[in-house]
Amino acid sequence: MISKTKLLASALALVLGVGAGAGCDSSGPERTDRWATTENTNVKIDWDKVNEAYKLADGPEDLEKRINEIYEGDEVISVSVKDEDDKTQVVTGFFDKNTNGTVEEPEKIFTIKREPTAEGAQYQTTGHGAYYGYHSPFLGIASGMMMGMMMSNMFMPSYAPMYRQGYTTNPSRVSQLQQTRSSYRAANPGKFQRSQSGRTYNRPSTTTRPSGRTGGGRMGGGRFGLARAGRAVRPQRLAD
Amino acid sequence: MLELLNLVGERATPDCEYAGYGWARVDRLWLATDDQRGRAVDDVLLLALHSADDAEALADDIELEFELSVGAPVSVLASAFLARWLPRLPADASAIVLALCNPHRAVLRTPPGKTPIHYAHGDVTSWLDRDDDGDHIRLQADEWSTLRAT
Repeated sequence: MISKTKLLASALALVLGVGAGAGCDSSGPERTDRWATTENTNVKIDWDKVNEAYKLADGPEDLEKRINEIYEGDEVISVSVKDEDDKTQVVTGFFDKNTNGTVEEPEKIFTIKREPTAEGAQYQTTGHGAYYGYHSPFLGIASGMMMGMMMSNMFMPSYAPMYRQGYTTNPSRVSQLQQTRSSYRAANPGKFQRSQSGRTYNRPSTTTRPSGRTGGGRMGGGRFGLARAGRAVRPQRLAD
Repeated sequence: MLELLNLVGERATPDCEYAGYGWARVDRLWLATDDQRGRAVDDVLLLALHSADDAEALADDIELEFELSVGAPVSVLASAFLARWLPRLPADASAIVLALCNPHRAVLRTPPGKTPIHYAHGDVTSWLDRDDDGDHIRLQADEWSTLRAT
């Protein structure tokens, strides 16, 4: 099995043309027949549910739980909550890969920014990393809407920002979140349908067969184009 | 190789959000322009790549896009990519097939090498057909072209 580091190195080498890359070395004992498929890229996130989770969460710990129940991958998403001023709040979801309990740019998955408006408040979710390019619409919120304590607090006369110093998922909580999510998945097998695409890299192709297919018929695979029209930022073009 | 073409799991239609890329050796695959089996190509070096639908429109090149596990996606022109990578990949295949959407229907220039390269115009999707003869891997596109060394 190729390590994640090698996978990343391979992926970068692929586009930068630096060295042959571990994933492309067909002579070694760990021969693989293809480049590394990008990790996490194809684990879909239901952004509508993420946006709803933020609206309904009663606090950062509840939000962590909700987000990880939505996420279909194996990793645990950590959450950072920071009140930037009286009513502006930034929530960041991230893979705490180095388990240091702080958000680092390459670890970011999404940010949610809540800002006050004349009518109440609005928030917008932005994807990062593999989810780069996603921007939710500005989602309006107003007093009286159904929302959790985390959001509704700001409409209280006695409201004071609680996360000036910031809240971040403690690395020691990750295993607990993992267990909670496992229980949730076991209890809700119908809700949890893991994305298959691009997730089973490095498995020998000779053993990979579509499961449960019998008789004739056809199965769709993938489309080799990316629907990206309308995005605000185009990818950086590497030197020719 | 089935993984590379996203032909794992159960799916009635191709996943339009699939972004995996890589290469594989394939004994046989079928290049089709409709849902029939199409033309067989044997002993293939298959490259699965992606272009975005907002890629730059070029007459003779395709802007590839790669989603990385860390950081923002990057793009590179197919001509530069193939010039850099084909010499590093197995050279003994009888044919090279690009599983790659060509949204602006670019007419590619022949890269170095003697192996014919099959590429598509328009969208490309992968399919796994099963019939009495077994499983068949099909790449479907509006049209297929072949580059041959001059």
